[in-house]
Amino acid sequence: MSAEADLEDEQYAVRAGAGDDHAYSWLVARHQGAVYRYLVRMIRVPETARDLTQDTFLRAYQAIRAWRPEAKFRTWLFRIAHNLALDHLRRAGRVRMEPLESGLEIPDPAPGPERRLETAQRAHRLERALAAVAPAHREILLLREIEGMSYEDIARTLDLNPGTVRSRIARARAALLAALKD
Amino acid sequence: MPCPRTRLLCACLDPEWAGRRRALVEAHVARCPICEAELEALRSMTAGLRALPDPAGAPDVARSWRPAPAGRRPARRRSFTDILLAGLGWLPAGAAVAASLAVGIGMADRTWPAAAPASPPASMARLDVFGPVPPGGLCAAGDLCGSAKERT
Repeated sequence: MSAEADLEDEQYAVRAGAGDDHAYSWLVARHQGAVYRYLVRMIRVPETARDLTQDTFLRAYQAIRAWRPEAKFRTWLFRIAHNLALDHLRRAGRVRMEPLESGLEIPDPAPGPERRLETAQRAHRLERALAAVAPAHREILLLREIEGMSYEDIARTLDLNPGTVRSRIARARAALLAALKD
Repeated sequence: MPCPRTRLLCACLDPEWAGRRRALVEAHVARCPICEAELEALRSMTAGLRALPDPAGAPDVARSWRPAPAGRRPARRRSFTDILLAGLGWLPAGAAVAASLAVGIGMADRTWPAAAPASPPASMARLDVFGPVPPGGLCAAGDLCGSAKERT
């Protein structure tokens, strides 16, 4: 996300913290897609991911007064989502996730049947490989490659130091590449 | 430099990696077709991740969003004025309680006119109903009945 978008988030979050529910709804509309796609790839069960998306925004609403502009709203929100996902995975006692085909639907965005098939197959391979890597690797890849977060933002979201983020991203990429080759 | 591990090749992917290590890796990759292919595979993989379509089925939280009931939201710290105004809201009820207490105490302290004379104490003879011989009855054991009569 651009610095401009971050600034816009900040303005709306300040208003939401002051009790403006419309400002909070605006924030929900902007971030709900990103929070869901992160959660559904972490949890691998769409229904649960939908519930956790709702929970994330409810928790954020309850805590919005505690939010301070020193933290980016998006980073703060993803931290809530991340904690909920971890809690859920711990409760479920799930170390490995189900394969992609068990619930995650991928829309076909490309035109033309051959191209569409190729894109869909590639997406399926990637999703399967993502599901196969450890949750700690998956979460960091999702934040870096799909959400486009900086190392610093990832460090804040996952409560890690920047050095750990760097080495973990490198390991996660190597693990994903190995899973793709399998 | 020997072939770096895949992890080290990531130094060429992100701008956050800078410095001597990155320069060494890039110099090696420029000469090594195996590492070049590996780096290309990494680049293709990360590009593929970025191009992944969003999963279907995202909830429309914004549309169904209803702010939580007031009680669920953490209470704002109340200023002295808020507390004072809240206290004033209870003023009529407090005044009513104080007035009713004052009236009650006043009524208790007041000296009332003497009440009607109390009825004379009931005769102890009425306790005969608890004796072994019913009133007016004959006594089978004289000494017992005598003592009972004496007690009454």
